[in-house]
Amino acid sequence: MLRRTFLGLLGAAGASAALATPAKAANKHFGPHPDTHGVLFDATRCIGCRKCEQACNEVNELPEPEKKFDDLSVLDTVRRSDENTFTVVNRYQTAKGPVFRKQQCNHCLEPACASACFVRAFKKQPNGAVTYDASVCVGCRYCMVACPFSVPAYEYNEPLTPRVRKCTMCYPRLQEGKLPGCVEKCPKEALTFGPRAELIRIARKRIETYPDRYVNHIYGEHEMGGTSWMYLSGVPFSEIGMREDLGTASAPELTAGPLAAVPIVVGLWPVLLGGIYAVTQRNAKVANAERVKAVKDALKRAGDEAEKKLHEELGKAEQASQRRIEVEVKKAVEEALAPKEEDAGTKEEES
Amino acid sequence: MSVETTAVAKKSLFTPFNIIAGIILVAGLVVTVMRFTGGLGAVTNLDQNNPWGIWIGFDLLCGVALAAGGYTTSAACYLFGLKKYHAGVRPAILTAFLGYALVVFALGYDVGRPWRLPYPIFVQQGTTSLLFEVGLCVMLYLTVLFIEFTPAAFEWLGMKKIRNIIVKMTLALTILGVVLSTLHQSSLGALFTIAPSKLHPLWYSQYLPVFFFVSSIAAGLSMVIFEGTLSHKPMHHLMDEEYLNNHDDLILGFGKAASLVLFGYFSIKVIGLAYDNNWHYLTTGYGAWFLVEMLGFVALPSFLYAIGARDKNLTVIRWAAGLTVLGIIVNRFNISLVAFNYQLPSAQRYFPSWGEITISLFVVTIGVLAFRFISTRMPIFYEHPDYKGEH
Amino acid sequence: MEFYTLQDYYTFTKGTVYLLMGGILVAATLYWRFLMGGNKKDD
Repeated sequence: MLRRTFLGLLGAAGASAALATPAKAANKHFGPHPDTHGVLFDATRCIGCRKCEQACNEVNELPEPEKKFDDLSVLDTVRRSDENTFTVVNRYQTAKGPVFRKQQCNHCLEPACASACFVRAFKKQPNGAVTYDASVCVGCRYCMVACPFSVPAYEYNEPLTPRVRKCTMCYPRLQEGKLPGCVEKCPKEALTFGPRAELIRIARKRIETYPDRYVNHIYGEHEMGGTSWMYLSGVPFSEIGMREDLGTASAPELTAGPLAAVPIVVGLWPVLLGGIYAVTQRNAKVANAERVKAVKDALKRAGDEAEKKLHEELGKAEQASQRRIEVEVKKAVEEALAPKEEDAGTKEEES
Repeated sequence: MSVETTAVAKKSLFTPFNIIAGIILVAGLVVTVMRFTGGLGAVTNLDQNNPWGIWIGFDLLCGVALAAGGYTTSAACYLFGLKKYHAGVRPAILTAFLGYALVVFALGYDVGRPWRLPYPIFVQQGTTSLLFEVGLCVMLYLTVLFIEFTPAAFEWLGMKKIRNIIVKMTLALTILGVVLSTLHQSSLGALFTIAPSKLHPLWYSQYLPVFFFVSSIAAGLSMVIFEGTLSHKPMHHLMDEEYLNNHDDLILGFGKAASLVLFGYFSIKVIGLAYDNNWHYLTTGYGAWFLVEMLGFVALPSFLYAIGARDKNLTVIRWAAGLTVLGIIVNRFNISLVAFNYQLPSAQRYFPSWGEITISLFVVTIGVLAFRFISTRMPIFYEHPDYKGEH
Repeated sequence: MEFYTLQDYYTFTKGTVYLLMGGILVAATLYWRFLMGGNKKDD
């Protein structure tokens, strides 16, 4: 037990420790695809009119919501996307007054959903969109666990054909050379569609030109390895409901360590365990042989001792019987001699 | 007259245990219908922020961890040559086999399209996913466990030849079992490495795979003791001399081993704290709960096991085993339900629904009933007379 | 072979690795039998 535990821990810990730091696959750097496009959202331009929500609903043929899109009272609560709503606009009260932010899939460069999906239902397309293939989805919902932005929603009320639902960056429209529905509809140009590199340049330019208007950070440039949907804001991003503690390591990088340990176990465990078996067998065999020898020796010793004892006893017995014979002879001689002495005694009396 | 005698001779089917089991079975069937006619939403409290509930946290995570007795016992007996544990192998394998079979059964409730469960292996492989790794290894290991279980069934059926063929494969199956178990036990922990922003820092670590694997060893050893304790009275009449003679030795030996493993587990958890510099979290609310888990459910049972082993006190060891089993459940619950989504406001946190609890009880009940059915008919706690003395 | 994302790169390499794992298990079994075979002479 001690051996197994030690070796097991050593092996696992060694493998894990060696790979604990997320490796960008050992100096290799990837992508993004040169054709990767994205969307830049400018929170200083958004007025919360919700026309983008309406466009998304129409383009994707989603069901009519309870409250109409011109009903701005929905902004009183912070909402998230769900199985029938791919994007929502939320209002946040900040030091600079109310600020609006549009939430939807961020189409990450290294999507956590794609990394997590065990049937490859998610794909980062060359044009930047992260698409979902419902025809292979098993419905395990690990993608929902993995997404740091909690984007994917699930059709929990579908008994037999539930799907994961999220923004598609209007992939079919992009194929036709059109803009995503929300981008086209926005009356304030808060949404800009274009090549990702270009969007970053535009964003930097805006920050440079209006340093008092913007926080000096393009959200999504590096977060979780970078996203295609990026944000500019006039207030700290945490004040508009965005997490600033996500780090820059992508999902594939986070799981690289554990994944890499898997084949090492397969390669080495059989050798280790087979070795333990062989050694244990050998030990048992040797111990058994020693035991057999010990028994044999003990038996021999016992036999020798018994024989020695027998010899001694026989010798003693022989001596004893010799002595007995001598005693008997002596006695007989004495008896034989005694009456002669008596006769001699009586003869003397007679004469 | 004859009616009277048959009435006396037949043992009543309506024992308290059977009645409760029956109620759970009926309730389970009702919820099953609801699940597949109304969807997950009709039966669970899962939502868009909380995609995994107790069907994952308990049925999958705890189920797999607590079924680890199969690989630990067979490794102890066949790889480490500890022949005195031989009588404990078959009960452990049966527990493990039923455990894994029920994990797959429970997954049939949790995933959206259960008939597509073979897809990741046969249709499109998501090789970057740790869930792919879990799925593949669980499927393979379930097969291994099934094969390891079949000799008992074949002996019961009198199929000597095939039984002997399988017994010849014991070494290979045992090694493969340890390999597969190491992989999927650790990968279940690795599942959560993808979401550092959603798991409280005291539980998140790049060492999660190692933590899960090591704790599964302690879980397996403890479950063998626990299951052995629970089945001792009801199955006593089935247990043969070898089982009974070695039973106490097994409890002692496994207790000693478990004490050591738990010590090792505690040590590496402390290292995990240091590695991520998470000491300051210990003074928070979550920190207090973390300490309860580590001190009450890891350190304490480790000590109790040690005391039991030193004093040869089987009762203390049994209590330590129960505490360890509970501790594994606490740990898996913490990672999947309590510390997961810690960043959400409490109004958005998840709590299991009655439907979910019903199905989890339903699954456990089926397992206990199947165990009872098999062990009362097949040579699990005793050696079949035709194969006595064959190791 | 151009990979534009780490994800695509890993999909490819891990796929290869899984196939290799299967092969290693088979090879290990065969190799073990080879190693443990030969004339069984008890000394």
